[in-house]
Amino acid sequence: MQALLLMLVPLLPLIGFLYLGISRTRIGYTTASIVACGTVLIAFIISLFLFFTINFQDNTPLIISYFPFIHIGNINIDFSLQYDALSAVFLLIITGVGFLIHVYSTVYMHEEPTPQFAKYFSFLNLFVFSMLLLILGANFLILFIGWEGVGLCSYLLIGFWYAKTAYNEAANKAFIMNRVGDLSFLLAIFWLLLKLGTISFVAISPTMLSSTDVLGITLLLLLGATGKSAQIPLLSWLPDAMAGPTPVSALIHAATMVTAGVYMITRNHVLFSAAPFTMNLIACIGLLTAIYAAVLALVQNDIKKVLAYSTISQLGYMFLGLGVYSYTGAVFHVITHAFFKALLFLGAGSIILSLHHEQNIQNMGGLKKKLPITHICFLLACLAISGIPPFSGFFSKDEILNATYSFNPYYWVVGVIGAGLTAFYMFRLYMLVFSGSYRGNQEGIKEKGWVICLPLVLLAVLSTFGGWLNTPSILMGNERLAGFLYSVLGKKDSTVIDALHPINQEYMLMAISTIVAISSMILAMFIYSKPGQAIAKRDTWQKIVENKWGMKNFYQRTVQIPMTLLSFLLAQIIEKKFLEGMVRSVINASSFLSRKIRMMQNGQVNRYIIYMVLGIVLFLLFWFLDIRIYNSFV
Amino acid sequence: MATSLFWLFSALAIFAAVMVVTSRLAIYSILWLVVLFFTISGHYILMNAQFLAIVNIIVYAGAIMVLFLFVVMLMNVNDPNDNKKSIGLAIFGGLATILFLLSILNIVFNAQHTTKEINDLATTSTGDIGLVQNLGMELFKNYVLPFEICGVLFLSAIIGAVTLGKR
Amino acid sequence: MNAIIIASLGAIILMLTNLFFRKRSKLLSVFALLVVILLIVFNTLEGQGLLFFYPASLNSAFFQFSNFTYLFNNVLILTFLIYILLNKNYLLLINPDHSADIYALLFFVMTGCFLLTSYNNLLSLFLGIEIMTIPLYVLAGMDKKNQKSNEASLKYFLLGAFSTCILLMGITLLYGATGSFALNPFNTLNTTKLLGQVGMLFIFFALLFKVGVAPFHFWVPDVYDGTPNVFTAFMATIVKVVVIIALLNFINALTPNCIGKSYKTIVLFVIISTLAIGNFSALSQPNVKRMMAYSSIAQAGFMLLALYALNDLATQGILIYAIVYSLSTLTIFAILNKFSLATFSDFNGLAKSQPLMACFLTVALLSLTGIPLTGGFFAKYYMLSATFFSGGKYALPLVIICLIFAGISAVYYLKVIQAMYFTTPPVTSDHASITIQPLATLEKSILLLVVIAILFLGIFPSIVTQWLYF
Repeated sequence: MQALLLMLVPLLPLIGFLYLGISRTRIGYTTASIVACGTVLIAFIISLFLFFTINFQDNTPLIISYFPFIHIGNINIDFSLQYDALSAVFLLIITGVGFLIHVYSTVYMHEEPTPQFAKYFSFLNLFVFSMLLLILGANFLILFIGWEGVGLCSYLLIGFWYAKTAYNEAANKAFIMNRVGDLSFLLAIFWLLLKLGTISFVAISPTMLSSTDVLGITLLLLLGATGKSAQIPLLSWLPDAMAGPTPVSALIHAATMVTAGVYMITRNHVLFSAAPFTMNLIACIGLLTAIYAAVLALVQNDIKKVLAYSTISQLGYMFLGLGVYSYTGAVFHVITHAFFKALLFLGAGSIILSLHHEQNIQNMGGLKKKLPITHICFLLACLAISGIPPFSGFFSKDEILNATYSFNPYYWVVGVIGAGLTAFYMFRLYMLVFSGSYRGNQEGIKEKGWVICLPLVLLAVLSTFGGWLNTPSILMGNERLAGFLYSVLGKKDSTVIDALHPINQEYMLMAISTIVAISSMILAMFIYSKPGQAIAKRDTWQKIVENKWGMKNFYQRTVQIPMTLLSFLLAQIIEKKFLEGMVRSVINASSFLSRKIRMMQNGQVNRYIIYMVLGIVLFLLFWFLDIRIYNSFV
Repeated sequence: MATSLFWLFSALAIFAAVMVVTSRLAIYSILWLVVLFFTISGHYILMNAQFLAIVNIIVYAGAIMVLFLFVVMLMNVNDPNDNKKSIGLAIFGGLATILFLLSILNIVFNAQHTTKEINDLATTSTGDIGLVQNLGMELFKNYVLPFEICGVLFLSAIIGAVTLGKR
Repeated sequence: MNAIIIASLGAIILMLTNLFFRKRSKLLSVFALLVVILLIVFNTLEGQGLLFFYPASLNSAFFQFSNFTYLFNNVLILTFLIYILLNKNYLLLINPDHSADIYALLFFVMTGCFLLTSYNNLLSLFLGIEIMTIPLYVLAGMDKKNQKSNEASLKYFLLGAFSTCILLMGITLLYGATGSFALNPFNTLNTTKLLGQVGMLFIFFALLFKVGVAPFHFWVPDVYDGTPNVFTAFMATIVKVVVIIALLNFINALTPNCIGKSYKTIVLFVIISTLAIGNFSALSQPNVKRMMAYSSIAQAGFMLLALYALNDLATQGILIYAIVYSLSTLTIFAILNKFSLATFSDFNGLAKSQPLMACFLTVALLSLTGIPLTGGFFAKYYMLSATFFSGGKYALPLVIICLIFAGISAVYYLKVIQAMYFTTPPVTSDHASITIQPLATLEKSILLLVVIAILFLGIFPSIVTQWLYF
């Protein structure tokens, strides 16, 4: 029974995909919507049922083997699914948030013609299927199949509006950058298979591996994770991925797919914990990415780009959490982030839809009155992501930062600065969009109906109260998530922290990060609430230089100018020249080689024969030489 | 006697082969090729393989070369200026040829230096396996399967030739 | 043995049907299909131990039949069946006067293929190669009115003759070293006998030429491009795969002592240069057919990994790779048949005008790329893991390089998909000359089955390999 139900969870979206894909020209809006949402809803209900009926407290996870995949010699890889506390949590997020976003999409995509509409939903269902496979797989191979599958769906959905060339390029970039990560992931799988003869998660243990093996494998896995989760060095695809429809950005590029890296590392925490160097590297990568992306988010004018960089930054926090051994913290942040970031994107989608696909925040403003429900939900999400108590983001971020402090106080300082930046850019966004007066020229802006608003409200409730899942004990909580994940992640991580520093210190850390967040929030509100919106227009680099001698106010000089300069540096020099340049030079080199090789193919037979004879001769000479050398040694 | 004949045929064969390649006129090349086949047949006779020697002359020097001559005459490719090659190609080709020759020589010398029985195998001048009767017995007893398959090969080649040749 | 005899008999009978059937008679393809079905039945029966033709003691001296042989023969026959079903109308159209001859020549090629899967002797290897290639030279030039087809035929013949020279020279040298044509006594060969080793290398090179891998790949783009589509599909799938199996048999028959470490270095070089040339050239091709020619070079590079690994995993891997690659390529060529010209822009908006066709093409291309849930993923996975487990200090770098090239290959395969789904066709009326014929019902259903098979292998790859142990 459990086996069947567990199988049904990924199977239902697959059926939805097949049905929608095959009959997309024949079905109408209603059928497509019902099939797409229905399959995900049933998957969600099954996940809930499994969640409440299965006892997670015993230490053996539920592993069901369906059929043999590869059986060669002593290598046995089955198609098997694993259901334990960790997969249960992710399952609920994917099907739950996924369902809300499916519902939301039915209105958001309604402008598309029917075949396109059905195609969109078939891709979305395929994505849910691949993601569920990724989460439920009991070994690396199944995880990898899901991993590639979500990459493919991401590619298809980024390029969904293919009429624009730039979107196609964005899709290609995302796919190819992900392939780089996949490559190292696959190598890690081979390595494990070679050393252990098995790649199922329960059988992997670092005690059977040498420390070099563990280091190598974890480093390769880490590179794979950075590709999927858009961390340094493979991050530049995510902002471009915003070319896709907004619900896609919410589901794939914020709530689920990009957290696959975090999931994978958590799933293999035993292995990673045995490689301190890798852990430190994860923490550093996370921290750097968090700061880097936060700084870039300060100057973006496209509402979705701001959210994209913010996503990268928050993923950086998750990696930081992993790196400092706070796996629960990282998973907790995945959960809360799924709520509030999905909410932010759906809110942004609601705004974009109301403004007829206007995405520039310089042309917004004063939407507080026009879109009241979106406004309230968006505000709650901003508060949550900024880490203002008692919203959900506060608890998860605080757990990570606390663990960071006991790991390395310097990391903590950087992390808190990042949290301040987060609050700043989120409220810059909020103020530019909602407060002041409207700067655009659109008429009749209003909410787009309850189907858009309902997911917003539900997610807003979750973002507000999601923190209660794992309230720390010092705030009279009972740390339910940590207790729940106990069977997978073992001993509660924060007990280590408790032993290291006293309770009042923990209060102090909490207070500092809260003060930093609130003060930068107020700072942002102060700067961007000036009448006439003059400052908002001056966000760009040229304007700053022009007004250098004006010295209009203190904050502008001390905060805004250096930050803008830094952002400019990062965006123009590092991102464009260095990271993009790397990709571009690879492309140039291959097209150069391609031209050179084509010159050899000139259609003349006698020339071909000469090349071939030369080839044979060179091989022969190599053979003689090799034997000569070999003989001289023996 | 046999040894001096061997050297004579060998020297003639190499000379003829060089002439085939270097002749400017296609007709001369073909005629030198005929000479080459005759010297090879001489080698066969030295090895006591009369049947092979005769077949070589009838089939190659006789039938195939006559066909070549006809084609060359019919297509009128006698103009020596036609087959001018570019210098680069010549150098490249020469290099490839020389290196290939060196490789083959290396193998031959290496074989002579290291193993004795290879010499024995390579220069058999006695034995009657090459006689028609023995060859026939061998061909239709031990090698009857490949012999039949050869039939299939020729049939397919004939069909191909007819198909291509027919308008 | 049954397969060889029935295929050659079938060829002869098909040739004679010229006397009885009208031109372009549909009966011809029915007849050919009948022979193919006979082939399957008799080959399977022989695999179960039921021999109909058994030339007594002579058999084992020239041929050796194992489970793998029968299984692979069946794979070949099934591929050939699919090939005929997909292309039968085009086979009748290419040269209406000679449609019976075309079928006869195809069956002769199949005879050669069966020889090559089971040979145990250098003589049978040579005969197999020749029976396989001589009809192919003719088939390449079958479209007599087309200059390109004639040129392809001539080029193929000249370069093929050259490779035959190399093959014969290799056989001669090996015979000189061992005094026998059989493959077994080579066990006595040791590393000091250079004569035998060079003979082995020459045979190896000649076979590499037939596969079409660097530096012997030069004929592939020109010949594949000029040959009529139907025969390109045949050459790129069945023929290519068979020669790789022949190579694998050949190398497996030699002792490890003989092939030594230099062999592995040479294979390494061949694989890397093949992948580089195939992939980089495919990147900049404007024409999909020529792109497929280069892509087939690159895919052959992947199949050669079996020659590097030389273990059980590689044997299983090459089986899966051969099946998946053949099915995918046949699908692509069946669709290319429908195009008068096949530049990338001709595929623009195909998803709108011919959604089913676009869907089939997408699955086939994704499979060639090696995306999971298609058979191509497991094909590549098997080959790479076989290489990885074969050990040696070059195994890991080789796997990395192969993975990088697999990534590059995604670019040009996705270009087609992108054109089909993400680009709108030009609306100007002067482009009306580009006509795309729709798929016939039979082709649709066959392609559907093929695509399902590709996807099925992406989920249950071990189905195929289990047959090896029956």
